[in-house]
Amino acid sequence: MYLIEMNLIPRLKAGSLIVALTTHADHKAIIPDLIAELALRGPVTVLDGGNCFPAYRIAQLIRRQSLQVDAISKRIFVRRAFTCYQTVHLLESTPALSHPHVILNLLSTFQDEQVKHNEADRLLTICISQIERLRLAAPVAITLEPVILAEKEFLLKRICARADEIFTLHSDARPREKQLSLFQGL
Amino acid sequence: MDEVKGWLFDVYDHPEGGIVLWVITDTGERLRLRMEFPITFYVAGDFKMLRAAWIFLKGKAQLTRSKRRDLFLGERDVMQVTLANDLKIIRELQVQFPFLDYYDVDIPITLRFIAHTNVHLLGRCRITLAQPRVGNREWIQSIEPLDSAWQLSPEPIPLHVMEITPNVDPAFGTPNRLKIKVEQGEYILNMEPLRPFLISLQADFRRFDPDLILTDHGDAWLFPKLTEWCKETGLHVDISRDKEREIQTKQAGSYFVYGQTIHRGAQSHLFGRWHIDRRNAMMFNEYGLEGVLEQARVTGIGAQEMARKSPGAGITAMQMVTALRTGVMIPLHKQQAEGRKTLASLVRADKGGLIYQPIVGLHRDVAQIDFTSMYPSIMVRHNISPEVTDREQAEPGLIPQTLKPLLEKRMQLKELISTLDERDCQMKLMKERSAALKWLLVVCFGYLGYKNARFGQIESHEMVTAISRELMLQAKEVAEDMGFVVLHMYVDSLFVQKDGLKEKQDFESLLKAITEQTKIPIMMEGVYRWVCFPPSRRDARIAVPNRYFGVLNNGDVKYRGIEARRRDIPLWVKKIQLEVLSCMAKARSLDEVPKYLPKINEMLNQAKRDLRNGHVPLEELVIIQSLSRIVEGYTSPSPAACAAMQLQATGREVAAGQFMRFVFVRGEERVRVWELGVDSRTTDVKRYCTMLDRAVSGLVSGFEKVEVV
Repeated sequence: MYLIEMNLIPRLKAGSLIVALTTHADHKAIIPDLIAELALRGPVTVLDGGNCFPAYRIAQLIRRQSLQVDAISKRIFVRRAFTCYQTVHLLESTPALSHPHVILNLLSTFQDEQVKHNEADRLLTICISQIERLRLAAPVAITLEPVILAEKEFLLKRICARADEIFTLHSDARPREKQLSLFQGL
Repeated sequence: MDEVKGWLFDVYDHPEGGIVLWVITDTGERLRLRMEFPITFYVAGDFKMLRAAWIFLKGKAQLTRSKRRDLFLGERDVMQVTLANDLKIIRELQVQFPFLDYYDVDIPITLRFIAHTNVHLLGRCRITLAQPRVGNREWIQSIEPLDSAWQLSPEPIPLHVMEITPNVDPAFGTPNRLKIKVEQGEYILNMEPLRPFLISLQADFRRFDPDLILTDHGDAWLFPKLTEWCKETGLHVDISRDKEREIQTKQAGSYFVYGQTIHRGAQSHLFGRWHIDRRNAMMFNEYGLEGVLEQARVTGIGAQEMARKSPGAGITAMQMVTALRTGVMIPLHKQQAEGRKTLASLVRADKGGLIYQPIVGLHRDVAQIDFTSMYPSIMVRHNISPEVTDREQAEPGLIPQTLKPLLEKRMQLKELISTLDERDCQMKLMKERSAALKWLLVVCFGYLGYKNARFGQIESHEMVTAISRELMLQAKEVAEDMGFVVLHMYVDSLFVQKDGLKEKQDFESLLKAITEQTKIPIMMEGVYRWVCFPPSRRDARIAVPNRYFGVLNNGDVKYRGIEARRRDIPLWVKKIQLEVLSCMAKARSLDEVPKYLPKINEMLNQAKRDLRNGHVPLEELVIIQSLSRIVEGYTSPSPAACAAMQLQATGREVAAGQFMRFVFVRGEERVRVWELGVDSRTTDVKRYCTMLDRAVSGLVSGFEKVEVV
């Protein structure tokens, strides 16, 4: 259904760093597929930097493809960070395991207007070094949404400069057929 | 050696080091006192880097090596830094050594003072003055508390209050008169010509010497203008009581929190005197001045700041004081992220409060029972705090230690209020104080999961809701075992019914049984003669949680989730909806309500006729909506965005989070921003009538099907 399946998953190999650029709406549509697909293949660690981990949607997608929902959902490991300081700690304390890591919306917490540019830059440097550590053992995919504050655009460029491949993800543009209402007048 | 007794009014730092204290003495004097007050903070991290920081600070501060407790990491080796003055070093150190962990560096001075001396703001204290005395610039040798912030009825601080109100809202026009109200009476002060006005105002400030200046539009208009006019004319007005300090202005700004963009207006703070702008004080309408003072008393945040801050800031302050007192270091930035969970465990853990969908329709003789301060009670009783979540039989954690006295005080106040007569002069003040404490308790749970909370932890947050769901299920089982039907459950309240039970006392055995089972007190909110859970507009078979209206046994109406509770509904619609509800409340029983439907129909038609004939004041048609983003961020502008564009077109600044006031009008314009003036002939009558129809039909639709017996 989405471009993601044909493009992104085969490229997730040990040592690779993939960056996926997406809008907020497309992120919601595409990322559950990616995580569910990876979980069907084996364990996956999700590091959520944007408070956007779609738990219920992923569970639904797994259920569509397997009867072992419980076993597969135990293969998805999640940790969330809500500030950029927590994002740094999250990456620092994540062990480098051999299964894929998906980092959701890495720059979301860096957009906090209280965090000055220098500080954001310093923290991102730590994050990048930790991502480099993780990618030695397993593929790493990072999703990024557009930066709201123009003056923090450089953060996005810094991440992209480290990537092996950069994808612009968008959901299938075909308009969906409108389902007829079951109830009169609605 | 001189000794004074009085109330602590204000505390702030002095640019040359130490602190300034303002005290209202028993003899009515307003004393400005100074006190030596060294500041201590801690630095931890890589040993080599700490060594370099030590060398950097040598000679500038007193340095010691020590061990201190981090709530999340336990004991840490730290460098203890004590500064007598020149707090700029803290900033320099952070810039020079950004990779070190800093603790206790951004604690407001009032909180340090309270933790150190146990004297609380607005509280009684005894002060010993050092010799020699020089005029009014006296130094404090020692200070001790004479009461506690947790005292139920503290001796009230005797304040001189001055209220200043301009004759016109500055957003609509240029005010030319000020209404000034003091204890002695009220009078009008002309603002033109400027020089005599400023001279008169200065004379009034000297004569009445107010402790508190309560204004409308003082933050963004009066005080910035006064400063400007003083510069223009070369005259001086003692706005702050401290002659060494100017007004402190804080710029307006917008921030994003809990999915909402909030706009905070500019602020004007005074020294040695408070200024509260009623129009810019966050919860002033909710709990008034008495509530603000109560929050200042228990949180330690100065009254003029507390009036403008959210209750969450109050909870953070209280946690900081507890941490300072118990030797827990307060991190500059909390770093701990969530622990590792599987998808399955996340889905199980990350839930909110329990909601049991209401049974759609009308119900008679229903009791609503609520757990009292359920979440804070759980946090205290089950010892929920980040450092003890994984430990059984642990000592009370930092969060329960902070909340316990607050919870007890609120319970005691509630009990006291229940014994007072409605006409008692203390009633209003007690209710305001109780509401202020309630708001602190309401937000304390949310702060456990808030991203910037220093002592928050998502696992603790989840644990509170998990326990609450369990307790609600226990309450439901107890009720059902006793033969009650549970109609609806919403987070901490239950709607129950049993044939033949109509009065409050009939439900006492149930309350007792639930309290015994859950160990959390549950109280009777009221017994409804009838209550209606209306269906969803999209699907009549589905109910909407926490949307109901009904009439209590004493004739009062209670409603949640309907138009009358919403901010974005015009006053006219709300008023008519409440009039209709009051009309329905006249029925002595549910069966009698349909008899009132023809009257309600007539009320509705009359209201529409009044609107069409232009008899409805335009103010009642104003809609208030906030801008969720900057105007340029809208692809298809909402009515609020259209209003913002109109304001921008006149050259006014509009920020995200700001509230827009507008009226729906006919024609291409669709909305007209209120500040620019609205022609009553252009009002979109049809749109307002649709809103009214929707509001009233939501109330009466259930009754149209009821057969009158």
